[in-house]
Amino acid sequence: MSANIIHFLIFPGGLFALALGIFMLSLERIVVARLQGRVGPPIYQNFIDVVKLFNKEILIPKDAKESVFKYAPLIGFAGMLAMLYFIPIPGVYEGSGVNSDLILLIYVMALPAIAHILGGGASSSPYAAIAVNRELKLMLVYEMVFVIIAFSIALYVGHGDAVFSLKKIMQYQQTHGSFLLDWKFWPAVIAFVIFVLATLELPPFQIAHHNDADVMDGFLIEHSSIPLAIYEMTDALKIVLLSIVFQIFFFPVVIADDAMLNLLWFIAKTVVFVMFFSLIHAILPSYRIDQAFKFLLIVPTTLSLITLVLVILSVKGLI
Amino acid sequence: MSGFLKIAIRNLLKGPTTDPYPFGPTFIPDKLRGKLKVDAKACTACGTCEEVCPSGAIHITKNENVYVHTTWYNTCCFCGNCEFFCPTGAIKLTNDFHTANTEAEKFKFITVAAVPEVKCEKCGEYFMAPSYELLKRAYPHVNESIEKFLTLCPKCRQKDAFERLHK
Amino acid sequence: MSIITRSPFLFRINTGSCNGCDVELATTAMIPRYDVERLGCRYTGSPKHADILLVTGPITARSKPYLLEVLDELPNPFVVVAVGTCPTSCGIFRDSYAIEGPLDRYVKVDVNVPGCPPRPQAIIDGVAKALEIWKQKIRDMK
Repeated sequence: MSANIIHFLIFPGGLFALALGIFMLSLERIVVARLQGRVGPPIYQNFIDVVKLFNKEILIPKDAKESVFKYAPLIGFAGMLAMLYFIPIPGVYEGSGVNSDLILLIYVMALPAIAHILGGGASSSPYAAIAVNRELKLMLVYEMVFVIIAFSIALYVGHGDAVFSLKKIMQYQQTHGSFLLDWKFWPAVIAFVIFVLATLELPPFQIAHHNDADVMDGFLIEHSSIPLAIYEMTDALKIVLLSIVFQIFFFPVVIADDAMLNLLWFIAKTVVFVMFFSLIHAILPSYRIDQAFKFLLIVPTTLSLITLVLVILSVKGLI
Repeated sequence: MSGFLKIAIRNLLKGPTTDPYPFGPTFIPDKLRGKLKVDAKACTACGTCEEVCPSGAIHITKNENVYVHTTWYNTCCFCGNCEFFCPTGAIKLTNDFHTANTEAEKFKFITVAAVPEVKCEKCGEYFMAPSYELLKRAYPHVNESIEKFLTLCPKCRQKDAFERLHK
Repeated sequence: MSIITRSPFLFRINTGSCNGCDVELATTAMIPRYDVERLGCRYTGSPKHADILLVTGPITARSKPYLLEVLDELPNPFVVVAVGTCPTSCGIFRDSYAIEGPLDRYVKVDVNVPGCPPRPQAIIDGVAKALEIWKQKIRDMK
């Protein structure tokens, strides 16, 4: 029992994932700054941001619904923390061994966005209302992409019967070759990259918050110290979780039998993952909401459906 | 999309182009209009700068036999009118840009120049003498009899000129 | 305790200025030459996230109610910096019928940076002085 508490709170759950995630957030800022010709903040900058936010005063707007406003950020934070206990890391951590992790993953991936919507809706500000509206429209479309990718992988691993256990997906790839090198899954990789950009709210989908053009800070505009810090920490955990999901779905290659070496390999893969998304952040401008909705409805959905059709054909034996 | 990609790769290869200001030297142009300085030897307290300053930053007051020329930097708008209109060239704008000050020293952020009156050689009264630069601007050749203006009060100057011309 | 002052969040408000000082503030943030992010600062979009308030412009009569609302919304402890000659002492617009006085009348200002407009290096100096004063205020609040 005590080993489970350590897994939940320290490694690979609470403290380890939080530290790695906060470093990844400031690494993203540094890479974007260097690509724009500036110097950028030091590597520990986001730590100091979060610590400073705990020292300020909490301000609550007069017309806001106080209980929802104060406790909504905890929904996303608790969901991410719980999922990091269940999910296995290739070569380092066994995971909880539950037989249908994948369905749990699909549900929990939506929780931070729901926390944003509840927190933003409870603050009585017109900027937050517009940002919540946009976030709902985007969430409608990108969740669908993730579900289709997950189902195609589950169908392929089970040869026709869907297998929802993440551990079995990893073991199948470790014996038959990882899916990143399999030509049937390349449209799914591209669709997954677009899904990560949409769910982390990076350009070109930086529409609902931190959009310096119309909604200034989006749904975060009335939050002040501790709710804001919890939203930042949820963002940090989400980056780590998305990196682990990408590695399980497409590239769970381990290099040695030793847990320490595999841990360093995992951190290296996460750093490359974050640097790739910083490159896309620095180059592209942002869409308007109607352009983004049309794009997300057509392009990644079609790509993931192509992968689903190829998987079904290969399971039937025609490819 | 490829347009900015080329710029991004060039920025990565060349390195950042940031001015290292608080941690290193910086570039300041020579003709920058910064804080002003008064040369007390060339000033004659004529009051032209006080008249043309648009924000009223310059004040000239008299304290016994000394004219005190005070400028408050917190309301100066660094326009350069005083330098343009000064007849002797006593007031000049340097390129010193360090203007940040805290609230405690807000009303002490001034510069002061003291321009004293001169005692006449003959009668001993105090008067405001012209400076050498003013003489050079008014007369084409400054010879010895013109230099007497620096030490004789106006009444003694009149007597001296009458003696020279009618003796 | 001093580690907290390495990440100030800045919020700027323009109370009727000619936009000269606003252009200088924009250049200290965004262009690669005078990057303010290497000192740890960040521009935010909401006064509720802000630690340092940068005010430009003489307080015109039409912008006075908005300035008072923003001053209400800043969480303690915060620092106010008056950028440019206009908020410090109204500059060349003193005694005009449309100006409601320098910034001292509404809030206790901490740092003044005169200049028309001040150089970006002078604004960075002003922000550094404001950080020292902020450190003192945090210590006094404990």
